[in-house]
Amino acid sequence: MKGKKLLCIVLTLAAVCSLLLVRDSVAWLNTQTGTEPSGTVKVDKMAFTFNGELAASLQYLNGVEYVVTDQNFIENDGTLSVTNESTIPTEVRFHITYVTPSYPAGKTYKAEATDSLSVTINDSHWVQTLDSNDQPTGYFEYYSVLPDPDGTTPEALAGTKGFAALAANATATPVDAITDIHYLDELIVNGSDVLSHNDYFVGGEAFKGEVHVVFEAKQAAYVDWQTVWTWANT
Amino acid sequence: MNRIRKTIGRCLWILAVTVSVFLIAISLLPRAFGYIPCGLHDDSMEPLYKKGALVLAKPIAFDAIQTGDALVFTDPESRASFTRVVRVIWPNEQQLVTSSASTDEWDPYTTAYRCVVGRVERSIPLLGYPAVWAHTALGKIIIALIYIIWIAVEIEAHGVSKRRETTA
Repeated sequence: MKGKKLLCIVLTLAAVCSLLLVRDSVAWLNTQTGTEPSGTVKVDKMAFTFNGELAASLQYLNGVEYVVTDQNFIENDGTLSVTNESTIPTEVRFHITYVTPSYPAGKTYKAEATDSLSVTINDSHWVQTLDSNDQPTGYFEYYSVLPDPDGTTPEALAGTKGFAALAANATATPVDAITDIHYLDELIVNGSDVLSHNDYFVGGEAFKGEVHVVFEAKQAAYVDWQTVWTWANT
Repeated sequence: MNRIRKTIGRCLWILAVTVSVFLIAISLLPRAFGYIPCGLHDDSMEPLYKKGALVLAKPIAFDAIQTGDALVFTDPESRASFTRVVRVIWPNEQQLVTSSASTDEWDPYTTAYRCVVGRVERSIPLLGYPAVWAHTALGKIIIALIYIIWIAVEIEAHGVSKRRETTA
């Protein structure tokens, strides 16, 4: 009997000790070993600086947070731009996801009639790619020279995709990507009433406008895209 | 009456031993295979891993880390652990931009690679709860109380049997 009791005590103590050896993982900690993600990202020989901000706060009225019709999510009506400082040829693309009451998990912007977002993209350099069925993918790639559908040479037809390597002592210049992002009027509702242009939404069932702009880059000779920057308004 | 008491005692003994062996197994067996077990305290890793899951991490070299990997980190100061998903790798500074699994919104600060314990390779739902509970203040208090009461009962039982022997 004594032996059984001793075994029980030893085993339970061992169980408690071994449980305490298992790590207890919390949500997140600032370890003080890192830095604040800055606008300049260096990945091997790729380097980019991202400028511009998505507005962090939405409007409040009577304690309710709402999205103003036509509200530009880029802070101070500014521009989201990228500056290439890479010393190798690179390719860059971005995609935009946003939330609507019908798509609470998010929807990709594809510049289609079904989009509930209006985005003004610098179409002098950014072109949306198509998939094998000629359908828009939602990815907008950078071209230093746009493809020319009226071109007579393969080079002209294809355009020049991506950034060339930045020469030594050369000055990098920012390239505008997006100058305006806002939800379209029909999305803002108060119960069953669809508010007209410039009306404010007060109370009722609201949704929080969420927009994410994600930039990816890769070395021109490789196939794997890597996320290098994300803008989010939340 | 004695028989009932003996039966209850035997059942409790079997239960205590079984549960103890099970807890020892889930805590120490992964280490035998090179895994580092970690209990998830909250739902920040959902939908990838549920709250209360036991995740098993293996040490990983910096070059092998890829975006999308779930890594277990340890704060060198407090020794506390946390699990996050890697979003961007900055190789020049060996810094990792991370976020929870439910959003791609980055954490406000990067984390250095030297804080990495390992990459999550496997996850077992629910088995992390005993360890998570044992780490809480309430858990530690209850465990201590159980042992205190147990010792008190054993001392009292020992005293009673001594008195019976003396009387006999």
